Amino acid sequence: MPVAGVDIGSLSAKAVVLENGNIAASALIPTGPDSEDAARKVMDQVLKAGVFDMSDLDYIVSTGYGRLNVPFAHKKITEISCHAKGAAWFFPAVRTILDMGGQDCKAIRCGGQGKVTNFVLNDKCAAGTGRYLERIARLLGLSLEEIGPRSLAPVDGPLSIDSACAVFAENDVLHLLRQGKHVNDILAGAAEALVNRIVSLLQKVGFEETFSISGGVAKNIGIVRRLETRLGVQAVIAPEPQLVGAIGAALLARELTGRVSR
Amino acid sequence: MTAGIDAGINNLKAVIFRDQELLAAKVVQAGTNSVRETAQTALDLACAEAQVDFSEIARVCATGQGQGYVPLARDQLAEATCLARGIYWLHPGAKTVLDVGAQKSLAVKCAEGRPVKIRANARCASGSGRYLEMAADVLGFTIDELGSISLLADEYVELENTCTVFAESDIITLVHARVKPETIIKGAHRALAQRVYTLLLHVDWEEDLCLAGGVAWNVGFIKELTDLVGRSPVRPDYFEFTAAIGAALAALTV
Repeated sequence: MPVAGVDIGSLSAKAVVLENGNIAASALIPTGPDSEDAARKVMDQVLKAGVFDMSDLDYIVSTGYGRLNVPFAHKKITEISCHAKGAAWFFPAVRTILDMGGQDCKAIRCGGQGKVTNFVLNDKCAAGTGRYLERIARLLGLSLEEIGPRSLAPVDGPLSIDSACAVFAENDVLHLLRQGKHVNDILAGAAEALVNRIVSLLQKVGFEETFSISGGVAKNIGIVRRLETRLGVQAVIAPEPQLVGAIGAALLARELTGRVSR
Repeated sequence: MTAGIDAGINNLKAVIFRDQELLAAKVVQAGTNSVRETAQTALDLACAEAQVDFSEIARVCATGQGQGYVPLARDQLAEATCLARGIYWLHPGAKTVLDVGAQKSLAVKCAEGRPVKIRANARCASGSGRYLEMAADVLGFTIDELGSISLLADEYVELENTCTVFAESDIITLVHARVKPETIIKGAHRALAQRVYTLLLHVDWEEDLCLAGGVAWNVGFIKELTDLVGRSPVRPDYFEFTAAIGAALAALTV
């Protein structure tokens, strides 16, 4: 019987249906203001995509910051466990995971089979999350897709953005723009500032290879390349990095049904 | 005669003194002009008000976050020094001055015009007027309206996130949940008051507690701070010029 994982993040809601050890269907929608509504919508969408009915599902696990607002979930599990589980499914040798989205940044250490041994979380300060780059991108009138490649192509070199606050950093960016600085140089500076903060989080958790990145930031090539350089390793990234949490939730759902067939 | 300039992020304040006498006080919005130009404008306006010629000013001292961009100032002085000096002139009984500005907050315990203990927060927007600007923006009010709206509320919501960026999302969620705007606004004032109150605790504040900085215009903020400190803080006339006054007085002696 198929099982499902639903990951309600701050910005996007994800759902995955797992059947016979394979991803049978997946969906990703914006969360919007009502996370319960988003949970229903993303579930409808994933069921439609896989031509399933709700009654086909044996077990549903919800995760993410909105996991409590998924009324149809049988169990709610933290995204720490789900991300580790999901990452280990793709990459069995994974020992350190960075999961960063719009609302928080998690550094997770795990053993075999994605068993979590330690984690450090920043959900207090936007400057250490993807939100920092989102706001700068919006200020510069760029899409999130553009900022990664641009940050890797500085014209006169990265500019330093000193403010450690996401709000004050916007003033720094405006100031640099007024001075006629190149957007790519500003983006390179912003990426380096964020990478510094990520690296200190990874050091705190006890960095070890293999290193995997998940969440929206995994799609930002500027952050990924810089992290690889700073850490001296190659990062492994799942094909749909934003779905890793939902996949992990679905894997845990499968274990909870007692029908593990590995 | 001397002049003091406090180059803040939103407003630049200029005062002119003849010995111990305040002749003029002017505030100019920083806008998009350079600090240098704004400082000149403010000083010209202050000179006009005092009916003096700029050449009569022997010395100009600058303070505030933009102090390094005021070339006509001979000296730059730390904000805490200027606040302590300024508040002693404005209200000699002051033992503590709390300056909440557009981008920072600063608590200074002082003794006869000198700072003895300082605690600042200039790193995080949540401890400054910027936090309230966010709340005003997202709720569709002007920053000037915010304080009086806050007074309409009997209760406040606890805003869980400290970070200004995350608090913005929290407020949007509260609006969607149909929480009354005044309840949210009172919550924002409460949250800011709590954060600056911890600065006061760090400097072992004593009364008289005086307010300085633009956020002290906000009656909603004063209400919440009063709740926490137990008694209404003193807000002297010319309170927003406290640092500029201290700079001008320092220029008399340096």
